Amino acid sequence: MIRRRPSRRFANLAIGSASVLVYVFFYVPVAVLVLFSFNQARTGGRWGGFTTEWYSALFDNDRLITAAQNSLLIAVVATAVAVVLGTMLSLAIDRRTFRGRTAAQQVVYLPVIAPEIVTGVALLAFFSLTLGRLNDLLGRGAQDALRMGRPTIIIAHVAFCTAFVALVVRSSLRTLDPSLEEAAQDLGANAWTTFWRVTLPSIMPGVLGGALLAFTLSLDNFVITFFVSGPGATTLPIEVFGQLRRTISPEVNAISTLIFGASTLLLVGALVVQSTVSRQRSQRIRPLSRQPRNRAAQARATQATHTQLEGQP
Amino acid sequence: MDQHSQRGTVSLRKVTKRFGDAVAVNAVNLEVEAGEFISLLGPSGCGKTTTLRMISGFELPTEGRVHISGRDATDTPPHLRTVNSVFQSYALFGHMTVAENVAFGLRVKRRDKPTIERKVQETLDLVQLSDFGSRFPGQLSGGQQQRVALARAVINEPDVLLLDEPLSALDLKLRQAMRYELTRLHDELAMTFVFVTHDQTEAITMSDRIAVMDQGEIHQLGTPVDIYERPATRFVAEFIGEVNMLEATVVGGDGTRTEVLLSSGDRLTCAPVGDSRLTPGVSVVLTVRPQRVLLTPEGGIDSQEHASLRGELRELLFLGDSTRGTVGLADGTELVAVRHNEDGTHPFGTLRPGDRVDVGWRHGTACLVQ
Amino acid sequence: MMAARAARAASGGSGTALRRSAAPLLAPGLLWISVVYVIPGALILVYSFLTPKLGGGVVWQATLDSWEEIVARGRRSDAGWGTVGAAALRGIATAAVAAVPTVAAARYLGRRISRGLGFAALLGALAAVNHLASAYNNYTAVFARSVVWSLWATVVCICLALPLAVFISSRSSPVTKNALLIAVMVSFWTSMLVRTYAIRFLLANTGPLNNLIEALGLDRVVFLNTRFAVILGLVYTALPFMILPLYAATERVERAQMEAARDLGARPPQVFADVFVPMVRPGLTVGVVMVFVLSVSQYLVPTLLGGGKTNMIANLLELQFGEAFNWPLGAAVAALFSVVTFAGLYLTVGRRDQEELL
Repeated sequence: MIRRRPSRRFANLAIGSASVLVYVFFYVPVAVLVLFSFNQARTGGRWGGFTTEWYSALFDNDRLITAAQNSLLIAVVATAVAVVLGTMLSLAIDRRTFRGRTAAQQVVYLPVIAPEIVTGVALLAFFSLTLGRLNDLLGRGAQDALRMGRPTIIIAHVAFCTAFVALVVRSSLRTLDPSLEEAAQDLGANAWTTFWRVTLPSIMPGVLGGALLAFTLSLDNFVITFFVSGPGATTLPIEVFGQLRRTISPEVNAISTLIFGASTLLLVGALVVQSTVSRQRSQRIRPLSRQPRNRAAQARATQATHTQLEGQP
Repeated sequence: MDQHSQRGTVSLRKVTKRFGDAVAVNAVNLEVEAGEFISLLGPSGCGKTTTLRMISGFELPTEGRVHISGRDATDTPPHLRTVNSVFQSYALFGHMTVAENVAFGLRVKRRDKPTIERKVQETLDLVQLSDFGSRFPGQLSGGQQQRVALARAVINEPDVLLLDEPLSALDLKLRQAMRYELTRLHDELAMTFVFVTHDQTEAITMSDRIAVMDQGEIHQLGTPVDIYERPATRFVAEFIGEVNMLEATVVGGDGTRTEVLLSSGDRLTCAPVGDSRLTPGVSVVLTVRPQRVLLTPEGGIDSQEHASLRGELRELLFLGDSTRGTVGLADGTELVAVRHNEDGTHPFGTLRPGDRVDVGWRHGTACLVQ
Repeated sequence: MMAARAARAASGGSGTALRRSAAPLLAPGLLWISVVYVIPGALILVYSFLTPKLGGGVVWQATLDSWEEIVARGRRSDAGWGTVGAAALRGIATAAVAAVPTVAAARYLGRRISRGLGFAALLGALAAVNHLASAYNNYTAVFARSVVWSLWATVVCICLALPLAVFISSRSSPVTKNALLIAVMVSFWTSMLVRTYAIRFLLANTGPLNNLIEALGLDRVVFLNTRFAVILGLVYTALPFMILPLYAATERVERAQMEAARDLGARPPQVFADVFVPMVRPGLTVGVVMVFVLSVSQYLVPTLLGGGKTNMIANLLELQFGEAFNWPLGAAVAALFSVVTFAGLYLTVGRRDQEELL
């Protein structure tokens, strides 16, 4: 039984109900979408009975399957490359001093702040120019010309994925005590061993988090991919966009539901992995330097000292 | 009653605070007089901070009333109370300069600008931070931040200043300096100070009165001398300073003296504490400060004026300014005596561990508690 | 013993590690990002000064046509001095109306009246510029619309995210906190396309919401292809970007500081304005920047929820690079947009916040 002032209670009520509204706002559209993916009625938002036929129809849709395969392949390759490049970048920026560090940093974070649409059209101009020149150089005609497709998509995805990996890894590098690495080197480990045995294991949660972010960003990217994909290779979001722009159909609801489910699973899985890794780490490493944060413990400690030092007031 | 004469008083009437099932403060009565420096002393979790927060208004008592300056303030929100607090973590506003921090209370009360500026400067002078007005709290040392926190509170001329363990984050030297500083401020401002601490030395050196708290209750309220020399409960005796405790049973006595039987088999007479419950058969604890304990070779104690016991010297410890002797009594209980070293001579003469000794104390220096 | 010393010697002096060159670590990633972002960005600027080729691409012949088109030639026939007067009037009217609440707020919070007036004047200026830009030509109109809609979305996001951030950070159990946060992150991680489509599906003319409205005996409402739908979509897609940084900032606010303000006599609204807001300001800035930048360059939301061809800047760009096939004109729009975005970022975000942002 805790007494509260009426004004306080009112404020808590207002904040609480606003928060509930935000969650309703977040989840009602998605919930409706999921619900209607099981709707028998072909058109309209009227419930016509339960069915899973739209899901089985998805698996007969070759274009969709191909696009999904493309998406996965691109995301895996882009993530793999970006994790390596991004981790290297964050190490360089955080653990080395060099001239032009600020400038390098700003270039690295360009993908985070640059409007995607501008990047998209700029890449369209860039790739069509370079591919055109390359085709001229190789003497390829209209039949066997190099066109935009999976390689160009991967090149673009690696760039922004690298930036985000660098961002995430750097935040975990910042919390890593540099004396840990110095200790390893002091004990005779060379730079390479230090990285593999000390630095990397310590920043692993960051690297995993960065990889997950990169993977999701690549899978979900629409705007940049829209401009750098060719007729030969589309990704899932491009393919779905093409469909839902034309019609509102239960199939689109079904594929959207699957995408939503997949990304939620991915997130939950990642959170579980990350928390496991960091828990293992915190069990393994217990820094001695940490003072008792607990105020009660501190108070007891001071009190003990006082009794010793000033027994006679 | 006249409101004016009550300015600066605080009165807690049967105040209880429960958090769920846990009782933080249990039916506490406390009358704080205007202008006094009162300390709430106790271990962490004893309810002293909760008591303070009920005076400042951040906690509402589950039962009971809180009166400030003679007015019932139980339901008054914190910003309308005529009290101000110095927080344990200082809680300075990091985005404001020192001067802006100090000016905050006047600014939200919409005082005019010249008044604010003048008072800020006066208050900064008072806490000896005259030249620090334009700095940010982050650029100051712990002791300086502490002074800013003080200035920010006293500039509002509250009826009562509440201090929640304000010295606990400082190191020993600074803490000692700030003790003096707080006493000086109290004298200059003539304001009521309610000071929460777990540190007996702080409480004893600064306060007019001390309320010793444990488990949500006030065990004893009194002057530092009262608390130190005449502890009312076993908890108070143990919590304040070092004390010898001897288990005993009351065997007799009258209005002027009480006779007890120690577990070592010795019979002693003690001054009563005015507690009528000390009837024969009641088990009590006899407490006596080591500084009051005499330690002599056998037969060296005048038993007319002193209570005396026989034992064996177990250990002598040189502590620099004093020497500490531990004596084992007949049943093995230990008794500690501490003496100041004077002129570099040994205060306990030629005594050596293993010697048979007498220990004793002047009648009236030992207390019986239950 | 000897072996250890030899090993240390072989490692080439471990203490020099920090002084070693950064180039091998830096070069690959930096090069890759430069190739994808810096070089094409420069190329866009070059393209904006070239001649369009029919069917897409450019002819390498310098011209100022595209810039002239944006700046001057595209001017609407009805734009003139009358427009300027109307814009001024509108600005003054907006400022006057806004001054009432802002001055009242300034007084209530114990701030100087001039601050309230200044804020009202800023809003008036914004309204006037918006009016001018909307009337001047199609390009400035699209820019103005994008900015205004994104500003609305940002304001709505702040209003929704603030209580939620406070709510989450005031939960005492870490399990509840994490659950509430994950519920936000799920939305953050869900594909932008799916989220936009969810709104489109819900609001469609024959969609579930309209069916519900009809079932209640009311007339169907046209939601899609309205300003309402676009701003709703912008808020829906950008809200997590406001909640997460704001929550992180709220979590760092010390309860004692808020109590100190109350103790010193500040009323709850004053505590909010004088202590809470300044303390969460870094997180708020990050959120505002992310929501605004994301919204102003949105392509999916105006396309799927706005319907029209030139709703926002992204639609204009897609039109020039897609159907209209005037790449230099598109390049000029893109260049102008980038310059405006980066300048805006530089002006709104101080150095300290930039650190926080990255």
